[in-house]
Amino acid sequence: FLTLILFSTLLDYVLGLQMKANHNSNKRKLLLGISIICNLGLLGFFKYYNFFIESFTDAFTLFGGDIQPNTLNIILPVGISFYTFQTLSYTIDVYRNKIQPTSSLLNFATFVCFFLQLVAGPIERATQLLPQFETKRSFHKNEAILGVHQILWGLFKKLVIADNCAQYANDIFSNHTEYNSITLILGAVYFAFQIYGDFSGYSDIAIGTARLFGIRLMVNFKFPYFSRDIAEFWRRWHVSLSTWFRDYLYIPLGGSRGGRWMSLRNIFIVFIVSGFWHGANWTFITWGTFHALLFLPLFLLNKNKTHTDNVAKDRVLPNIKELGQILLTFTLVTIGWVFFRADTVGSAFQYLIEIGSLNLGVDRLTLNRFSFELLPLLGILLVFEWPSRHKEFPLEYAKPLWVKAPIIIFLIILFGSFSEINDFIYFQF
Amino acid sequence: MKKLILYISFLLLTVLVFGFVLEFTFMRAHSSGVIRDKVSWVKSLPDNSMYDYAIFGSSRSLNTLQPVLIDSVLGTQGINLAAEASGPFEIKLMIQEFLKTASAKSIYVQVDYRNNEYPDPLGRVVWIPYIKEASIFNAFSVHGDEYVAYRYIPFYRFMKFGPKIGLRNQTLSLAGKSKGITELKGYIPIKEQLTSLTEQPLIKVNAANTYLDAIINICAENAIDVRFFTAPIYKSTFSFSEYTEFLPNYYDFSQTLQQKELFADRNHLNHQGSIEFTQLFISEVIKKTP
Repeated sequence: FLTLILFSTLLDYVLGLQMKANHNSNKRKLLLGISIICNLGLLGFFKYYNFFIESFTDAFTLFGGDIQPNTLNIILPVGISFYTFQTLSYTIDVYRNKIQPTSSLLNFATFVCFFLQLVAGPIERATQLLPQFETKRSFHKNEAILGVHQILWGLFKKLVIADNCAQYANDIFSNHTEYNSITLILGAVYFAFQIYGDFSGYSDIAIGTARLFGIRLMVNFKFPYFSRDIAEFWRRWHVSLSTWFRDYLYIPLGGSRGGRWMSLRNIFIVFIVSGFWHGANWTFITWGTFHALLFLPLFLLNKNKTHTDNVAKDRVLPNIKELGQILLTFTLVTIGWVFFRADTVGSAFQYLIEIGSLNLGVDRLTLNRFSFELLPLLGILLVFEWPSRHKEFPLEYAKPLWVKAPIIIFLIILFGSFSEINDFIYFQF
Repeated sequence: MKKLILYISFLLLTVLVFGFVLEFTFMRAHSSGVIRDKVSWVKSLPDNSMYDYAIFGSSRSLNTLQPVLIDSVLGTQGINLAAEASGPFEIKLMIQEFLKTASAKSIYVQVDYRNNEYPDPLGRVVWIPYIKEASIFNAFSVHGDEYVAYRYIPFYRFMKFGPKIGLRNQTLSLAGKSKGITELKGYIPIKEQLTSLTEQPLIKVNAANTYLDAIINICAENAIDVRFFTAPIYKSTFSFSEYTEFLPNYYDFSQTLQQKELFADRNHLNHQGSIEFTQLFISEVIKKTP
């Protein structure tokens, strides 16, 4: 699979230079087209070939046909969803004259496969990252200490929150027919925090480590579970992907310029493609569609940009209205996570129906724990995150410096899950 | 750069300090006298305890033989020291630790399809808190370098085996919550009943095992009568014939008690089944023990 990334790197490096050399707009368009087709072609083949073949076969069978599909037994190349988008952003930006193509193959290759964010992002833009490789960097003690703190915070989210939640969420989702409604609700909540801790934890570790090298990567998560509506959630969750889709899909499709119906179409396309980007499964497409449906009312009422600042700004606690908005948004997002986590769309609906059956009681899980036992850990996360919601991460500019970091270390040692090796969820994408 | 290195050194030092503090606290909790597993029970037995018999093995004898029932019939004094997921390695270790403070006239060892010559990934966990003890460390250390890390890196083993011996377990120890292990003299009943079966291939169990040999030697040195047995398995597909050649006084009960309602799952008798089996064990084994 190394040849794939090598191919992508060489192709986009050459195409970038060719675009610079050619002023003919048709030829530049052709070069951009080659880049898009080749990169998306690779992604489509390795990630989506089997999905399309199987879906086609299912549809054919539904109408009485009988075909034997030729699926491929291939594993997904590591990081392909991330570096494909990253190299594409380069050629598109060169085409748009937003950036000058680099003449250094070494710098460009470093940009494509910068080891910290190659496998799970943040999906960097050439406009931001490439210049950092091209200029001489110097060591800054404060930046390095910030990096250490961000790594620590990322480890806390991964080892204490995500990996503990994973044990409970896996148990509950695997045996959901045996548990009552409260446990199923907790299972969905645990998965919500698992995926948040896992993915944002990875991002923090990557960004923090890059800081040690004097490289700044883009912020990928901005305390998304404090969002007051879905639009705000998407401004705070996986920012590098959502802004990528905004800049390289939504706006090229016409954005909100072509009238209401055109805008609605574009919104649906972006959300569905975003879901599909995560994996070749109808569950992800349903998840994307669900978010599009949640976003729709805000867009139609022109309220999708209502909450652009931090919640409860200049106040310690949110007011009742804000709290209600946060809880409602979190509930809706968590319902969406059920589709994301479930094996099939059918089992996701079954899970939600079982929640709705309102069977109350306290379950002892298969892993020999009560389902509510993990809630105090989520409380600890919120205690750290809420007062820090205006920062990049809770340990940023921590005062006193010699106290907060050791507290996090203590919590990691005491509560961290070290018994099983849990891969980062987004490595599979 | 110097300040950064200093700061990182400080953070590493805090890791070490927290490790020592937590190690001390957890071991204090673990040794608080609350019995939450069979190893802590063995460690807490009074010096020179004397039993008529002691039972060792995995969950297949933990949930199977009832000393209370045996003692009520025979007027004896027995103890069931079988522990979940124990293989010959853990059983030998348990007998070794038992004989440090106690003794028994007879020892009954359950042998099985689980006949590995290395620590069981699950069965070893209850031993890990005691890895600093020389005899236990020596037993484990031949099976991998990881045990060196568990012994010498403070608190590492409590992190690595957190779900079993971590914060939750130690908090419950401090709160005085035992698992009722001693109430029925070491027997733990299962209430469930077998519902479904999965197909299993026919397997011939290889009986040769250095730890079983060691058990025979330990018992011979201490003049203890040792007998081996295999507990019932519902529709067993295992062949234990090799045990007859390798072990003295071996009893194969794997094909007995084949009523489905006596089993909790294929390999474990439920409470009713254990009553039936204990009575069978009394007449076929204990009463025939000299």
